[in-house]
Amino acid sequence: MTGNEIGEGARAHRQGQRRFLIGSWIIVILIAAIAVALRLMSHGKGPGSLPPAGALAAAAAFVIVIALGVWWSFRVVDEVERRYSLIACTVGFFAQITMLAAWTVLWLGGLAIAPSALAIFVASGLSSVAAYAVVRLRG
Amino acid sequence: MNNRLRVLRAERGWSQEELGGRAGVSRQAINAVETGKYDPSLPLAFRLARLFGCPIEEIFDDGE
Repeated sequence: MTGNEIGEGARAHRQGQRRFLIGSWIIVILIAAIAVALRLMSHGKGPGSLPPAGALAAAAAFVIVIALGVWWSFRVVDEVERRYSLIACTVGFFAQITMLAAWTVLWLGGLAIAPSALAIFVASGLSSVAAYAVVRLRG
Repeated sequence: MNNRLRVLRAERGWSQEELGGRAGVSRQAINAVETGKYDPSLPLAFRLARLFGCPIEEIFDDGE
C-alpha cells in the first residue's frame, strides 16, 4: 500500500467517524427540537404553565432521547474516548455534590443566598466540559 | 508501558488511521497508545497483536 492509497482500515475508520457525526447531529437536533417545542408550549412561568399531557410527553421525550443518546454514544466510541468521557462525568458529578454541600452550609450560615439548582447544574456541566478538554489535550 | 506499535505500523506502511480502522478504534486512540499516554485494554492489545501477527509481549513491554 502506498502513502496515498486508502486501505480498508482507513475506510472503516472514516465510515465510523461519519456515522458518529451523523448520530451526534441527530441527537443535537432532537434535543433542540424538544427545547423549542417546550418553549412554544409554555404560556407563562412556573407550575401549571404547561398542559399536563404536554409536560408528560416532553418529560418522556427528554428521558428517552438522552438515555438512548448516552447508550448509543457509549457503544460507538472507542475505549479511549469512553475513558475521557467517564473522567469528565466523574468530575462533573463530584463538582455537583461539592457545590451543593458547600453552598447549602454557606446558606445555613447566612453567608449566601439559597442554593440554585440551575446554577449548580450549569456549573457541574461546565466542570465536565473543562475536565474533558483537559484530559483530551493531555492525551 | 513501552511499546513497539509505531515501529510495527511503519514496517507495514500503515497510517494511524489505517491501523485504527483495522483495530476498531480511532486514530486518536492509536496515537494515545503509541505515545504511551494510554495503556490499551486486554481485548485491544490482543487485536493489535493479531493484526501484527505477533505475541502481545513483542508489542508491549511493562519494563519488568
